[in-house]
Amino acid sequence: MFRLSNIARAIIVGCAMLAIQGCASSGPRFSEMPLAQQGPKPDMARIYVYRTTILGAAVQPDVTLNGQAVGTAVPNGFFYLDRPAGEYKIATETEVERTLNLTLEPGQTAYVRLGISMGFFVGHVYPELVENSQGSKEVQECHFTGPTP
Amino acid sequence: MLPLAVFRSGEKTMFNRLSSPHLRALPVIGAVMGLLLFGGCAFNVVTLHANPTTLTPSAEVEPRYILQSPIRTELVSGWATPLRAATRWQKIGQITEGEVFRTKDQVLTVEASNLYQADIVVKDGNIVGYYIPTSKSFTPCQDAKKINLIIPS
Repeated sequence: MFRLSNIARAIIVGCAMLAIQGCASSGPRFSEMPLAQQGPKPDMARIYVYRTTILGAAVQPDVTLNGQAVGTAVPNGFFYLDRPAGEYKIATETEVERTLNLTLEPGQTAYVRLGISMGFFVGHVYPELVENSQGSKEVQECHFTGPTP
Repeated sequence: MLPLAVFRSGEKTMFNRLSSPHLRALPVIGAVMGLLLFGGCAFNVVTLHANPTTLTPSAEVEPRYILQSPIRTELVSGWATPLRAATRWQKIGQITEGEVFRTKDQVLTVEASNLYQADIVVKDGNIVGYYIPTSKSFTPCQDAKKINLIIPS
């Protein structure tokens, strides 16, 4: 039977830890960012986009807002966007595109969580609108991945 | 079952195995299994059944209604968030399918392969479907359901 030496085990564990850390975000936490905690200006709306799960950590597609790349779906990461009121489409794409279509009103804050589901070759990252009470709790432990609005 | 028995047999050669009638069927079985597998692993693409419509916004500020009891509806295609009791709803306008009400007390989305923020459409005291502002369309419920909205005293 094939047995790994202690050195080989240590190398594998070390590589795995490095890989996992490399996939996760490393910016400041939400709780360490006063600017992120302030609400939007009265005439603007704010969208927090975050991902809590490290499941499928290697799958980190771009996040687009109305077709423009605005961030990346980094595990345990978040970013936020201040935009004028209006209609928006948030999308991520791996094997297929998943979209969330929402309308924002002035002064509104919306929390968009990026979940992951099984795919054929690659997992699918999908945006979902969550309740503010839930989103504001979940984003607390996430790390900022920018860009600054 | 049979192929495995053949694999275990030390006397059978590769040629013999391929010439066995059961094993000659293997490619067909493999293709059928593959099709089933691919079918099961399809991307679950579900299109929301929605028709274009035009919203006529309310001309005046409408009163707020309170939903008395929770409601779970079934769409012709896709899924909708259940409506929670005690949420406040305000009429925002009218479409041909009914009156459109919006709430800020809960997230309301209709979902197929993609998600859409939505408002409820009420006609004759029943919820008949959902209005999707971003696509300016209406997606119907399978069956209209009684909705109990009251104005708080």
